[in-house]
Amino acid sequence: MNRLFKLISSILFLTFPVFYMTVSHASDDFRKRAPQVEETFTEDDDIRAEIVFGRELAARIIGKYGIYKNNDITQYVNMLGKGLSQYTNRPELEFRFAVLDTDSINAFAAPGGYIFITKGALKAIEDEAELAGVLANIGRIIGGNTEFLRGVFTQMVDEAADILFEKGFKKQDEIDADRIATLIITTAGYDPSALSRYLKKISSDEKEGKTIGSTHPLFSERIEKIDTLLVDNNLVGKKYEIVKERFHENVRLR
Amino acid sequence: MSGSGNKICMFRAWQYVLYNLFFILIGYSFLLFTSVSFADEYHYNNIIIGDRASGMGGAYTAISDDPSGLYYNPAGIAFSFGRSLSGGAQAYHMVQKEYKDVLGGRGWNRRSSEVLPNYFGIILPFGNGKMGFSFAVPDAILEDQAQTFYNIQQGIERYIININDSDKTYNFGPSYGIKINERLALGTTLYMHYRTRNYISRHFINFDDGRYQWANAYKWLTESGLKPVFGLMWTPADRWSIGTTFSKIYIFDTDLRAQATYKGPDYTNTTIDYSVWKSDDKKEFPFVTTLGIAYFPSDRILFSTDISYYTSAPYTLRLNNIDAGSYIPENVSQESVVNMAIGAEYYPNAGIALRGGLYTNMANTPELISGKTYQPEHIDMYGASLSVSSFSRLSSLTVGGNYAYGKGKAQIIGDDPSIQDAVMQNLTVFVSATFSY
Repeated sequence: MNRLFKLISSILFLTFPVFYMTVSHASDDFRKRAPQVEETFTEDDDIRAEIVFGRELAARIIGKYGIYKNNDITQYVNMLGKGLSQYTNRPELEFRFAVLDTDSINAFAAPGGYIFITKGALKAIEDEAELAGVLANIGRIIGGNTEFLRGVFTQMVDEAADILFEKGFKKQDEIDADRIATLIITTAGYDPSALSRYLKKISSDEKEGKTIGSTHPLFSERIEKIDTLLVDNNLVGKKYEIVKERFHENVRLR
Repeated sequence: MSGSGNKICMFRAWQYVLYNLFFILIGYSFLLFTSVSFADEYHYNNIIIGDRASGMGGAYTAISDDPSGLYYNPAGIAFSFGRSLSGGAQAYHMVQKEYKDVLGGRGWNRRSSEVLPNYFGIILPFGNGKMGFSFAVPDAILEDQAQTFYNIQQGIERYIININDSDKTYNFGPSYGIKINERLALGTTLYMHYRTRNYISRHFINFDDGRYQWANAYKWLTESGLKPVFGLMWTPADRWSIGTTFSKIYIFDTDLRAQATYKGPDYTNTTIDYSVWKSDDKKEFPFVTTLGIAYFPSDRILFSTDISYYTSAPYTLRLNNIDAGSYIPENVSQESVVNMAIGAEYYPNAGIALRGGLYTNMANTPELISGKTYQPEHIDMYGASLSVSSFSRLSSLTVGGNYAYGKGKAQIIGDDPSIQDAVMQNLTVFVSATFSY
C-alpha cells in the first residue's frame, strides 16, 4: 500500500509542473453536458423559469428608472402592445407593458414578456404607428429573437442587466428586430416607415445627448437597413394608418 | 485483552466492558456479541454522496463541476456553470449484517434503516473563482431492534435483546475553487467533522429454573474535528480531466461516556451494580489521497474512474473506569485501504441522463487469524449504482440507488477464538434535486 501511495504521490509531483506549464487557452466547453448545450423552451417549467428570471430583471429596470404613474397612458400602451404581441411567436407569454419615468429615450425588454418604454421616448413619438414600431421592435427582442433570448436567459441577472443598461444588444439582433418590427406594423396596418421615422427623429436627439445611445448600434445603419427593406418590399409611398389623433388623445406629455 | 497483539477497535473496548460484566457474573459469553458496534467504522465509503456522483458509484473527483464537487473535489467547482444550488435527500438507507452460527447454531441479524438528509450544497461566484458551502452525512446508523430468542443454550429459556443505536457523522463547511489558468484549477474545503452517537441496550435472560438476569447499557459519544480537503483539477488534453484530492480528519475533541447497570441471576442485594466509563482519547483518521480521471467523448456521454488510498491509522484508546480509577488501554489498528470506483453517464436526449457505476468499500481491519481472540470483523464490500435524472432548464430531479454486498469473517464472541461467516449488505435509495439560477 505504501508503495502505491508513493507511486501516486510521485506521479502527481512529477506531472504537476508539466501540466502547469502547458498552459494554453484550452476550452472547458467539453465539460458541458447535453442539458447545458441543448436548451429548449417547450416545457412549462422552462417558461415559468423564464418568467421568474424576467420578473427579476424587470424589477431591476423599474428600480433604476421608476414607473411613470399615469393609468391612461399605461392602459393605452398595454392595449396597443398586447394587440401587437399576437404577431410574435410566443403565444405562451402574457406580455406586460409599462412606461418608465425618465426623459431618456429608450425601451427595454426582459424575458417573460416584460416590455418597457420610457416617458422620453413617448414624448419623441408623434403617432400610434411610431409607438407600434417601437413596441414591436423591443417586443421582437423578447418575443421572437430566440437566439438572443437564450443568450440573455443563460446569463445571470446581473449580466443581463449589464446587457440592457450598458453593453446593449448585438448589432445584428437589433437590425433583425427592426426588420421584423417593420413587417409587424405593416401587417397590423400601420405606416411601414413609422419605425424609420422615429429612429431618424431620435438620432438627431442623440446628437443632443437625450438618448441612451450606448445600448444601440448606430442609428444611421439601422435607418439605412429599414429604408432598404421598405424599398425592396415596395412599401415606399403607400398610404397606411398613422393614427395620430388617438395617440395624442391618450398620450398627453408635451 | 489489552496486550499489544490485539487489534481492537474503539468500540471493542466498550464491548470488553460489557463482556466482563456478563462473563464474570454468569459465564455466558455469547452475550458479548450484543455490544458490537454497528456503526461502520471498518469501512470508509459507506454512503455515496451527491446527485450525479451517487449514480456513478462516487467516481467524481475528475468531474466535480456542480455542488457535489464541493464534497469530492473543490477545485472542480471552478468549472461549474453560473450559480447553482443543490439539494439532496437519501430517501432510504439500510445496512444489514448477518453473523452465521452464533446463537446456538443460529445466525444473528442486525439491521439499520432510516430516512436521512444526505447532502446539500450551493455554489456562488466569488472574486475570480467560485465559493460554496456544503453539508454531507457520510455515515449514519439508526438501529432499533427488539429480538427474542428461545432455547439458544441449555438452561436458558429465553433471551431478549433490545438495542437502540443512533450514530451519525456530519461534514459541513465552506469551499473555494479558482482557475489558475484554462487548464488548471485549485480548490479547498474546510469541513467541520461532527459525530454523535447514542447507544442504549437492554439484555434480559430468563433461565429454565425461574431465575433471571438483566443488564442495561448506555453510551454517549461526541467527536468534533476538522477535515481540510485540498484539490486540483487539470485538463491535460481536450476532453480529458484529471482530479486529485488530499484530505484528513483531525479530531480536536472527543467525549465518550458509558454506563452499565446489571443484575445477576443470584443477586439479592438492594443496590444494583453499575459502572461508569469515560474516555477523551482522540480517534486517528487516515490521510486520504484520491486520483480521478474522466473522459468526455461528447456532450452526451462521459466516463470516470477514481482510486482512493487511505493510509493506516493506528491509535491507542484508554477507557477509564471512573469508580475504580483504572483504565483499559486498547491498541486500535486501522489498516491502509484502497477503494476504487468507475462510473458512466449517458444522455439519450437533453432532458434525460442515465448513470451507472461500480465501486468498492474495503475493510480497514486485518484478515481474521485462526486461534486469536477479540478480532474485529473483516468484510470487503463491492457495490453497484444506478440513477436517472430528468432535466428542465434550471432544475433536475434524480432518482437512483446503490447496493453493496460483502462476505467476510467475524469473531462475534470476543473471547472465543471461533470465527463466524458474516454477510453485509448496504442499500441506499435516493431522490435528489438541483436548481440553477
